Amino acid sequence: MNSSTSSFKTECKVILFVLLSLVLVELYARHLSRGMWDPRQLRALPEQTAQLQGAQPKGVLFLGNSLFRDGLDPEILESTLEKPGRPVLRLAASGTTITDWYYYFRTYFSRKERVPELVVVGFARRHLDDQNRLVPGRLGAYSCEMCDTPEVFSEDITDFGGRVEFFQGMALVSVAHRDWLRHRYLMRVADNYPETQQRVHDDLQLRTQKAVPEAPTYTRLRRFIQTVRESRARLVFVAMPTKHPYAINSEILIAAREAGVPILDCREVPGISRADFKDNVHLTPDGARVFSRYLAKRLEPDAARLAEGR
Amino acid sequence: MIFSTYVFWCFFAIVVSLYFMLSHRWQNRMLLVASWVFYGWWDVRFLLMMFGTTVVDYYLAQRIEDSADRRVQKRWLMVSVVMNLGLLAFFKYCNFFIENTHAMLQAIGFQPNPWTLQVILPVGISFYTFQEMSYCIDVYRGELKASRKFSDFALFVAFFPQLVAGPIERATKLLPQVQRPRVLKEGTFTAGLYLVMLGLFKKIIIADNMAQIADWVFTSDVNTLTGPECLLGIYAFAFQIYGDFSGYSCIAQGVAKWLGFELMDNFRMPYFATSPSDFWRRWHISLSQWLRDYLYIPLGGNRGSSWKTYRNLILTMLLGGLWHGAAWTFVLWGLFHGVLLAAWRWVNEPEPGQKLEPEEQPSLLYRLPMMVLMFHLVCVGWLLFRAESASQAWTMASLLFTNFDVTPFVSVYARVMAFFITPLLLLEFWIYMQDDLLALTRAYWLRRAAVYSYCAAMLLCFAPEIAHEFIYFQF
Repeated sequence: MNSSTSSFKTECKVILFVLLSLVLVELYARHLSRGMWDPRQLRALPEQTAQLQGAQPKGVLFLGNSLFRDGLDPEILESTLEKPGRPVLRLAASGTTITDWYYYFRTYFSRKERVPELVVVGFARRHLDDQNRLVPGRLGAYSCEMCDTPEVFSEDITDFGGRVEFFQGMALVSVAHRDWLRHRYLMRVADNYPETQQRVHDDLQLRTQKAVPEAPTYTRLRRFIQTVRESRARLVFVAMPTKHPYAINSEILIAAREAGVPILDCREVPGISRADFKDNVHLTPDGARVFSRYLAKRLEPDAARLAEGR
Repeated sequence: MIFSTYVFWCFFAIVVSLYFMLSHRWQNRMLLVASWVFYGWWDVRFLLMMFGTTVVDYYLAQRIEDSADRRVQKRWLMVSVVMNLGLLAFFKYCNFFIENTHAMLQAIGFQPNPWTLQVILPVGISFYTFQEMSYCIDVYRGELKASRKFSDFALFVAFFPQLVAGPIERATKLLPQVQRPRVLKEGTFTAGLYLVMLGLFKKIIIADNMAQIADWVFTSDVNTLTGPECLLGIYAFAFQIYGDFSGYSCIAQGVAKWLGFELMDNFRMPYFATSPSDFWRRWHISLSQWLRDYLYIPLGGNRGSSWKTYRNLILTMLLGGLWHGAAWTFVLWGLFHGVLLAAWRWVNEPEPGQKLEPEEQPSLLYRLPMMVLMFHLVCVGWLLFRAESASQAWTMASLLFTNFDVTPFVSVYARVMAFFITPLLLLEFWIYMQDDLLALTRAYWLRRAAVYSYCAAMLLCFAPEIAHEFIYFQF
């Protein structure tokens, strides 16, 4: 055996070792993600949507991201909205935006027997813009079925790298949950990482917007509204409170008005002050209670209409 | 097409699979086409411009060689230098010149109409023009025979691993590798894998993760920052630019190795440098050597009086700073390093009549504090380099000594930074002690496998949300 063959064999051993290590990382990621809020609720989706199947009266779905996760008090909502037999579902995976919500709805809630009566979507700032960052791995893992791939690739993930990651996400939890795993691990490195990171992220986003004043577009929002309307669910948008005021783009108002979708303006909620935010956008538990009571009251007419079967 | 994307690796997989099926002549042709595709991927107009300069320099070098008259040779060389520098000046410095002239005219009471040109800077223009220029100069100096085969010369200019961000290869080293059939030596695959793995780790894990910290600090309103925040931002940028640029160079070297080419080392653990001259022997080596050979030595180098040597050092570094881009902060950065080099030379100047002894390696105990000191001096340079303006750099520098508030940002991100940086520093220190950049490829396979596994796991789980382009693409 000559030395170059032996060198090649050694390198093969190295590569095998690396691959084995990556398998272990994937197994660890799967184990870790079992205890994490975001993956857990996404994994529980098929089970949860089964509750909607044939439910009478039909359910209410709260769809949003970490603003809804931290901003809604389930007990208050359930006591207000959950009449006997009406399921109230909350899907609030952090970092998700309009594209994720569109595919979540399409994949899990648009089938006739599972359509909720009322869909409440919480947003702030730019969550409804087309310009939001997509996480292809997560879309691949949870938001889409294989049959959605042509639409995803033609409308949403148009770059080659994103498409590769989309397929990786279908197979690998470590790719699908990368942002959440990274977040969780860095929390162990520094306790206040989530709040500080959120602040840095928000600041940078605001500064980039100032530097590049790109006009936002809302094709995905219109597509989402159309899909929900076609499923005959009633749709309500909620403009969430944040520490610093923000404007709602007039294009959002136009798209909603054209489709007859109400926007509940909760940017200013009586009783919520700056002290009720743990960072720039997320409410504290006290703030969440005040907000949930306020939102439940604003949603009462819709809930009553549902109760009457109108 | 960026090294850290899937598109590049698919492209490379196609190139490699074709490459090893072809004869030497066809390998070169295929590599040339691949390199043009690689470059044209950004903007096909850039490709046309590079093709134009390649054709001109190819013929000019032949004219230089064919002419027996030294004055005629010089004239052709000047044509090449003027064309290359003219292109650089137009694309990089045109608006800088207009803006500053405008400001100057306003300062003396004129009110000229403000206008600027909408010039897009072609990717990597500074790298390939320097490479073409050095080729013509080497032919003029008689150190190199002019290439008589256009495809060979064009491949030397456009060779895709090092085209857009170096290393700036010399024709004397790279052209013969193009012209002769390449043989894969033993250990080539091992070394290539190591360089690619390390390069991806440096770029994606170190540089892109540090970018968020540095960007936040350097884009904040400077009046809202504290001293420790500024310090953390400067440290983050120091590692961002190091990870970014040395990562690119590593991948370029690794990819080239797999194709049978040897590119020069562009970085040698620069943050372990113990003096300014040591730093420039370790940082962006290909540019340092280019500036030494084609600017510093022709200016007189250290052959004249001490003052002339200091002047030459400062002038060389000043132009080196300007090479990075058209901004006063780059000029200040170059000036700062020039002054550092001159000051170091002044401190170590041999007494008249005293012979310059070859430098002995001092003990590690002496080197460690020197490394820390030199790293912080380099950081002062990075503050000038990254700052949006000289006044921002000055305010941030003054905050370091006047405001000592440790904010939550500092306590969180100092730890996050240590989490990412420490393993790299430990690996580099081990390599430094071995005095061999490829020491890991010669280590026991399990040690290498452990390092690669760590890098791969980090790449899988800790790639940041937003990937950044390589910083040096803009230069």
